[in-house]
Amino acid sequence: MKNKILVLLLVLSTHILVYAKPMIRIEGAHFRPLQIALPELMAQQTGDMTQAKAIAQQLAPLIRQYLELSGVFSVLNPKSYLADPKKEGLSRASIRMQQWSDIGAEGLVKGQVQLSGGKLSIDLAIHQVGIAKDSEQKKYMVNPQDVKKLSLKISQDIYRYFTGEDSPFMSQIVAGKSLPSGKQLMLMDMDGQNQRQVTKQSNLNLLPTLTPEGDTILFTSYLRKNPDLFSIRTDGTDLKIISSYPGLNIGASVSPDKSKIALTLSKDGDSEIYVMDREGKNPQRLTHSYGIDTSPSWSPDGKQIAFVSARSGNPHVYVMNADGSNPQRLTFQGKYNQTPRFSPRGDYIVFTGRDERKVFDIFLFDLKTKKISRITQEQGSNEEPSFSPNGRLIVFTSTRNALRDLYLSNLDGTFQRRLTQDGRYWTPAFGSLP
Amino acid sequence: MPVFRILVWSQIQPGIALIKRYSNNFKQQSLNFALLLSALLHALMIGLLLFFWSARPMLNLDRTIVTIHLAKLGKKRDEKLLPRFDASEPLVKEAPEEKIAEPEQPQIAEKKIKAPPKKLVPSEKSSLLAEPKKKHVNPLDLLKKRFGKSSDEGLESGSALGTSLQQDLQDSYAAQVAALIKQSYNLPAVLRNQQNQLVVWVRLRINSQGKLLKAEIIRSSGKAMFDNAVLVGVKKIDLFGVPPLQLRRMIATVGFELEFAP
Repeated sequence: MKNKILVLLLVLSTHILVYAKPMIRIEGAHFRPLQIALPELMAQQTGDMTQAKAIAQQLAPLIRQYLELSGVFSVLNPKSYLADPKKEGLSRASIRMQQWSDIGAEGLVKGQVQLSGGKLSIDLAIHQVGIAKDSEQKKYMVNPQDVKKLSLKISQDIYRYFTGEDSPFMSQIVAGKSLPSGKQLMLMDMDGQNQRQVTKQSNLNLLPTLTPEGDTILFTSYLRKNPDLFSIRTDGTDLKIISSYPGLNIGASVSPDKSKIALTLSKDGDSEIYVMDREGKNPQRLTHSYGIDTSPSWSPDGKQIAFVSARSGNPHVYVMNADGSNPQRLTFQGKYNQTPRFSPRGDYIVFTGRDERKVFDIFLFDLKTKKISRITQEQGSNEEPSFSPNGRLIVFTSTRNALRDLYLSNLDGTFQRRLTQDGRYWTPAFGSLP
Repeated sequence: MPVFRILVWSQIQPGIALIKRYSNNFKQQSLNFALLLSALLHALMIGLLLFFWSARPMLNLDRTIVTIHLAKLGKKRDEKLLPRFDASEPLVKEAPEEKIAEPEQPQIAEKKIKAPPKKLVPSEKSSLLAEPKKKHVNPLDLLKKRFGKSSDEGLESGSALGTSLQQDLQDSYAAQVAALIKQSYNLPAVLRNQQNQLVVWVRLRINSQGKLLKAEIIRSSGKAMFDNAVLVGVKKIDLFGVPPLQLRRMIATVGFELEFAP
């Protein structure tokens, strides 16, 4: 019996030895873009090959552009390819992975375009280069006129395949822009392209925000000589007044459950944060401090609201429960912190802070660690950040190139991209596509 | 003569009386003297004893001086409690199958096969059943093969992996390697959203020149891209530094593990 126990103990101890946790842990990796190769899509020999080839030539650059814009991909230059994509098929067996690996590719996307019977058909294969049998096949059937929409869809699928989450591609940006006709609201794709003017009724339209549905914009306008809150559809129709209390009606933010609007009103003299229903009725005051309270932003679970308050003397970022209880100050550094925005993932609050040189920069408050990290530095004045719907990108205005343009950044500031070139943009806000 | 006697007696009588008196005194004095002398002698004896006892040296300095060199050894094990390698067996065992397959010994094999089945007492049965298990399961045999005699020593805790000095050296070298890997430790940004869930264990084997012999996943994170990125990152490093002399064989053959997380 003793021997049996000893043998058992010995076997157990050897198992413990074999599966003992390593003593040294390596973490804190630097994140770099994934190297991806996306050769031009091949036109299949059947159907209208000439038009299919033209569409294939349009698609690849668009997809590459979106992937680059996400901040998580680095698209390899086609001139660096060792393999001849035309001699390979879509399947893993037909691809010489070593040649793609040799140029540093970690991902490979190949596709074939076919146009027949007025329908565009795309076969797509997404491969992980260093990993056997990790591939995905996709098929798309679209109208040939929707090439841009198709490129967005393909980019979204590639992003989701590699990251496992939604991409920022299916989103849009609304921003104020100084035009000869005054300050107007502009709607654009997330790459800053396809801009269209939404407001035309007034010469002063400010602080726009997209509703969660993606089809309506809430904004403040001086249309009635008072800063009132309006809503307008993204196509510029259906202008409605939501809140027209005396004084300020600004900084609207729609709750995640789409039922309420948080905004700043100064109807009682001091600017305070209120919550009202989507039609602008039943306002309930949430803040009661003597200082200015403004810029509300809902947490993704709808339980908290981040806002700016000057109750301590200088404007700082605070957070309170959705009923106004338990306000807590988050920022203690600097003397001027403003425009907080909750991340749709609920992990960060991004805000504008003025540093000791009196220059505005973008900062990130980590709600878990309570630490603040800086996203921009010594690149002009950077203000008014807003999270992409997937919480991985931030759009903001910057004067780093003299003009006030829109820029994109990832959350650690290692990827920053200029979206607009003509300047005079204000208060951008990300939102989902309808 | 009585007068004489008387006279003599009268002459002697005072002398006798004096003698008697003196003799009495003498008897008393001699007794006192004897007692005093005895006490003095005893005191002398005690004094001598005390003198010689306290003056005796504590160490025997006449003994031959023996020079001792201290060496770090593992705790001697109680064979009953923790069976170690059988000294009678060769350190590197040849596989028994090979012996049977040798053409020189066909008769022995035949004899073994032809031997009539012996009826076993239950205790014998259990011991026979336990034997082959020991041979297959016991990893100490493997360690013995790898380390040879040097593994006969072990930690005081009983670890068979080597002395505590070896373990310290191994930890130190692993830390050195880890620091080197961390300098260039980067991952694709697509893994950022999973950074709290991914952990992979990698075993590295490095040769005496500090070059990587093998990097293998011993516990996967479940995410092939992460595992692959870690392996690729490790393999990109040209030189890890020369392992300590005492560990070279072990680091080249067995290696050591590192844990990676984003």
